[in-house]
Amino acid sequence: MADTNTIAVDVFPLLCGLVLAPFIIGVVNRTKAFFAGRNGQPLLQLYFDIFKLLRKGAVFSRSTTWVFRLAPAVSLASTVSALAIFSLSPEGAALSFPGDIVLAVYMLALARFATVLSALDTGSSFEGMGASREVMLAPFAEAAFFILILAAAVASRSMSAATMFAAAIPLPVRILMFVSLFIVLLVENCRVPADDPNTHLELTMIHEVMVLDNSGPDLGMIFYAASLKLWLFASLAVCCIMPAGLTGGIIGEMALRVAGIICVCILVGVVESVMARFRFDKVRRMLVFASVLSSLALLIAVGVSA
Amino acid sequence: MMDWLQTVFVVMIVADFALLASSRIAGCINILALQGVMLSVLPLLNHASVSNIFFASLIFSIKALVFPFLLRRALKMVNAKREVEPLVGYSASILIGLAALIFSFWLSGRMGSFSPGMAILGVSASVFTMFTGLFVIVSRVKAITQVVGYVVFENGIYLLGSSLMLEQNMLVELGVILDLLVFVLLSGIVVFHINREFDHIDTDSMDGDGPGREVPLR
Repeated sequence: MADTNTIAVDVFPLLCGLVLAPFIIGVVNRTKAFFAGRNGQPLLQLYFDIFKLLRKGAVFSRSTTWVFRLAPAVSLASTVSALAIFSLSPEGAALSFPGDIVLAVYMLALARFATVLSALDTGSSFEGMGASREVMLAPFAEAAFFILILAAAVASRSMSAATMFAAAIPLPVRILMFVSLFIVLLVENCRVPADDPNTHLELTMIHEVMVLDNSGPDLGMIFYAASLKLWLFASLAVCCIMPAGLTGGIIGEMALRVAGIICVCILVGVVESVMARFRFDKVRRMLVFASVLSSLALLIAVGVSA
Repeated sequence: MMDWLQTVFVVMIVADFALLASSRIAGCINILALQGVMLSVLPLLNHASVSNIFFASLIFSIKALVFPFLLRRALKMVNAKREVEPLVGYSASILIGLAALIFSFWLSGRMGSFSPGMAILGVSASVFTMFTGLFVIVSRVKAITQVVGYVVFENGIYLLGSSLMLEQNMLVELGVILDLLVFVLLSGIVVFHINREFDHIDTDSMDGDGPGREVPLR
């Protein structure tokens, strides 16, 4: 049995993620505000929003069923469990076993599935359209992400997320993984080249349009799950280029990681400020390109370890 | 040093994919210039002697400066539409490229034994670059993009030579570069004349209907 100390070390990154995730959304928004010449909302705005929403009551449309009420909870729960696998500490993760990466990827897919199902459940044509767009991009994003995970697994010869990113992976592979993961991050979190999180014109939205009917605590859960997802991808991206074990203690390690995550979020904000949305078929081409980068990382990993 | 060498090979491969994905001729020419820069770094990474520095600067000036300049000038002269107009779609091109990349990794794994150490990544990068050049030649209709494909093909050959670290490579390469320079110069003139004769540089519809023939809609 692991003693309490190791357990605390393993759980610490997960707790950091759960507490700090809404903050990094604030970082992205402040970066965008800076580029637009505004002061922007407070860094902690999402915390206020979530607490406000949790105090409110929810309104459910008469045309919805239990699927719609269940979906936000399912999506939040599966995102948290994926985060538990992917929040890495120097020695392990909060939840870790051989092959846990496959479970984590499927957990993210389950969250998406629940959201899409609830969007279809409302019977609104707009939400159906959003769902259709979401599932159209999903297979490409998942392919890129999964091949990338596979590359890390081959390069480090381990099937668990905890040891996968800790091992010595060659530098070019790391950079390829980072770039590919960053593209997947932009698409999965509905960031600008793929989707605009600020637009409230239904014709152009992907993710926002699927949660139009949610209100109150449900919407709060959806916001929280979205911020956790951004945290998950950003922290993985940081793990790609910054190997674990640079500093001794878990506190220093996490401080470095959080600094890295904030840098990634600033990068997201910069990309969002200087780029326009892509035409829809170009988003798909971008994802195909990300899969190619992942495949290249995989091929190099196979070539180097062979 | 090994890491930098690997990075150069990886950048070459990624540039090839960018070439397959890019929809603008000007973008293709920029990618060509990037490849030229990467190739000029290569001799310095292998062995930084005086002759290598000279060689590197020669490669840099021709492949990263002169070729892009000539091609850009040709592009401006013929007033071509700026789109690439591929016969094979962009996503399909990327996927075909991926298949070719896997094939070239397999191939270089098979022949890796005749050069020690670094061979696999370097050889597969060069085989893949050659393939990309050939593919661009056959799958893009415009004369300028075909010239780009030809130069990329030559980049692949050069990369193969230097990733196998052949000593006589430089001598052969100097001759080839001279050839290539003349070729790109001439092709600029040829493209110009094609344009004057047919009012376009679409190599697929040159069936002699004379000047002023409309480009068929695709």
